[in-house]
Amino acid sequence: MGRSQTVKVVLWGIAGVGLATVAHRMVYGLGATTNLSDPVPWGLWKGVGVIAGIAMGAGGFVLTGVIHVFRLHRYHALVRPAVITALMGYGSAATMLLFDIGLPWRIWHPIVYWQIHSPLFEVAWCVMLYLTVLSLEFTPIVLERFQYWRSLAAWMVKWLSLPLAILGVMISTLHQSTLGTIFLITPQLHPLWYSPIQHLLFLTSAAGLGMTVIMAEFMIVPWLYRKPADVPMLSSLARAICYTLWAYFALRLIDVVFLTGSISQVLSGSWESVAFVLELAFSVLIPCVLLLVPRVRTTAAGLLSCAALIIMGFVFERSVVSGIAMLRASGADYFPSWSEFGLYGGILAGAGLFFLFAVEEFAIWTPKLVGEQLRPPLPADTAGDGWLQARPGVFTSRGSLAFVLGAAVAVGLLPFQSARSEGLVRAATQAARGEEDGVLHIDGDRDGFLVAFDHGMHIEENGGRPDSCKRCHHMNLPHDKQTGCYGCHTDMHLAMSIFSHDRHVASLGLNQSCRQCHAAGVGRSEETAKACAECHTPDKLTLKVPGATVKSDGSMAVGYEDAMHGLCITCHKDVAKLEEKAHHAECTTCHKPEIAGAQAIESVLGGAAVPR
Amino acid sequence: MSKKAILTDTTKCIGCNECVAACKRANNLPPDVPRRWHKGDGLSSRTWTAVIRRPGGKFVRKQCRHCIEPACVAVCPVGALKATDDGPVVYDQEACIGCRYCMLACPYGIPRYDWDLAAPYIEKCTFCTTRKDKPGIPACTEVCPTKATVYFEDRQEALAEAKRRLAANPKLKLYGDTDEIGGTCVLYVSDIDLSFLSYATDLGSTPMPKTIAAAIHSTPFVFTGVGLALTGAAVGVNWVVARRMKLQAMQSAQQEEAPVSEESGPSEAPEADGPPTSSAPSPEGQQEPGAESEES
Repeated sequence: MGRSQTVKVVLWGIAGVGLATVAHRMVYGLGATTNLSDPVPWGLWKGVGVIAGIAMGAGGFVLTGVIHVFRLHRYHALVRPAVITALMGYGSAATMLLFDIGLPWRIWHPIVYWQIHSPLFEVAWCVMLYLTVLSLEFTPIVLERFQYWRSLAAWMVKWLSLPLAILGVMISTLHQSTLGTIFLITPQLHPLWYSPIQHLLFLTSAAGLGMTVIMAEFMIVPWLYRKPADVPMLSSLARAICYTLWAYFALRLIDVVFLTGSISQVLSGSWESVAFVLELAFSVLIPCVLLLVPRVRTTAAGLLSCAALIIMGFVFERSVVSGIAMLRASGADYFPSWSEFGLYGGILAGAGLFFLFAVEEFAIWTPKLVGEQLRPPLPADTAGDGWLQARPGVFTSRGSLAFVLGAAVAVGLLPFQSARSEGLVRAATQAARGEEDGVLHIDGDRDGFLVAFDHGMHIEENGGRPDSCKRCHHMNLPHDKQTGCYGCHTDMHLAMSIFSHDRHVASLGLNQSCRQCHAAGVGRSEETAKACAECHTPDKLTLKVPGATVKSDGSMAVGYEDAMHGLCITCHKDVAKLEEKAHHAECTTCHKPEIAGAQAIESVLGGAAVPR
Repeated sequence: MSKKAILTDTTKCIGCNECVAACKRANNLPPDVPRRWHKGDGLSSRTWTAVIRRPGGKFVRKQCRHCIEPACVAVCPVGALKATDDGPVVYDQEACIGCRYCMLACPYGIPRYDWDLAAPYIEKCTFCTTRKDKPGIPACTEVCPTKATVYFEDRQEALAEAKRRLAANPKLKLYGDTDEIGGTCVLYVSDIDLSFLSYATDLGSTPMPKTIAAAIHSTPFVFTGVGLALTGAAVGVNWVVARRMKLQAMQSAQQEEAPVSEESGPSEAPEADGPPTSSAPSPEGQQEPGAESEES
């Protein structure tokens, strides 16, 4: 296999992982697939996939705009790769967003539901419009392949290139900056990034990052196809990138020194200050200083290293702004789950495969990277066999194998635990409440292994509805929290009873002791045994519940009302004294005057626990 | 139109959780279990209000503040969240796409998400506008045994009552007046610091939507401005290149007679050092992309 084919096999494998995680996300939802949470609602997919992804596609509008408007014909070779890169960047960001939003089938809603004051509304519209512009710019590239459409393609190139380029810059200026506007309204962002000019920072950095991505591409793609890179042209592109990045750096300094004054935070030694220094060092300082050295500027290796630093730096910057720098304020932790990485990687791999397909199939690179002699026209009868590869045979099967293998490995690794506990909590609980014989599946310790709890049997054994509910839906655990199984089932091998036969046998002399309780000549059972009170004086049978007013008769525990009154009131009185809140000890705090009896309990339990 | 209000007095709250139970009953919320994605403040997609215990035996009820100029409403790209004229901030789940920007933008971190569902929605206090039996009357305020949380039909009355309490007890502080992001319909009177309820310790008096208003509302001007500037530049460059070619043609035609004076005359000539056939790459490569970055 050649370089490009090895890369394609790897990409197919990652795409397979992506497909499996997409299925997982669609079936089980975001909670099972991602590590997102209420305090961290945006993660890898939004921060890196969408926000950094759109910035990485910015090379398209910058280069087509500049080259077409200023007629820089020397750089014309950059235009088509820039268009296809932007198409991939925006396309993958839009796909990423599709799976990131909770209701993917409503992604078209911003077209119909307008809310013109929202930055995201503007971004949504601009991305849709710019994807249209990119498609129009890409159309002649496709049409050229077909003899019949060639004249139309030539017409489009001649007359539409300039207006489309200008339109692209107009739209992109808006949404690249508006992506920064998103973070003007998030005060939980650390002061080093909570900037009033975040939109300008995003715009300038996107321009620099976008051009850097194209520059990297112009070294990686020829390497894949064993062709030389056009280093002199890339050196002058690198110079333009440096100017843009220094402009960004200046804006950034103005921001932290004069506008927000958060520069003092840099010396605080917090991890945010370290992130700030690292981010600026990677994205601007190190690469731009390195590019001053002629040996770096004029070699492909040097340029590629600087491009890698810049791309890493800005992807880091975007993810810091869109989430990492909010973690301290929201008091939460977040690291993407592997399935988040899997889905993100899968989408990028898909974009990469489409990119390589386009590079091989259409006249994007000049001179063309894959010679015509390598690709004889396909015989008509095999045309449908390998359309994704456009080349049937050994390679197709390797790609497919990698794809299936990737998907299989991902399915095997999917966090079945979180997936399985979804729905059981809600659906089974509802069912158990609805029917007498409902069985709940309870994962009490959340280890992924469920206990089948026969709710109906428990209701029956404890005296039926509604009196039995409060035995487990305990009053000292407010509302819908329940007593754990161990609250009653202290011994796995004995029936639920407060009478311990073993203990009596042991203390009375083992096998010699039966007659002490069971009369001779009748079957030995609970019914035929002595009553407890015959041996035990009543006060010894009283359960140790503080403040209980009713004594146990021996075989039963005290009623829950008494148990609860005993448990609640003593503590309420203590709190009322300690915290000077007389309300705590008053009956009406728990019992409303207008309701009584079972309803009073219900009002204390909050209704949620007592089925109606 | 006058706004509704809820006034919560933390000095009166005994932490009995009656309000939480009433909220669950009124809004038909299913039982809750601890989940990985909960924030730990008691709120979740199935629990819209919670009583938080603070040091010193103090209790603070957390719920949506129903801001008068809410951040969540300003950022929602499809207008699923709306601030009604009488105060409550309500949610239309038919429009929501699930972008979760409201969760990011809310300075109090109130909106929660159905992370466990395949078709999830945003969940938050509705001021009982969706309540079946008594729409618009917050159930939490009906059950409070100590009248620690009270419903007012007019926010001004609630403010007046709060100020009366403040006058009686100088240790108290009012939260939710207009000096807090433009005011909220859920007001607090407290003898303890309530800044833990919001992300930033001091949110300031500017309503949250104002922070993005300037950038968002300049959109049409930026759009047309960039368009005009680029079209102008394209026309200018085109004109310069055409003139340059014309001059070159004239120059080659009249090469013998007077070649020098005309070429250096026009002031636009220095910019146009890149005719299509030119082979001087480096100054061109420096100038033009540099010019672009200033423009964008």
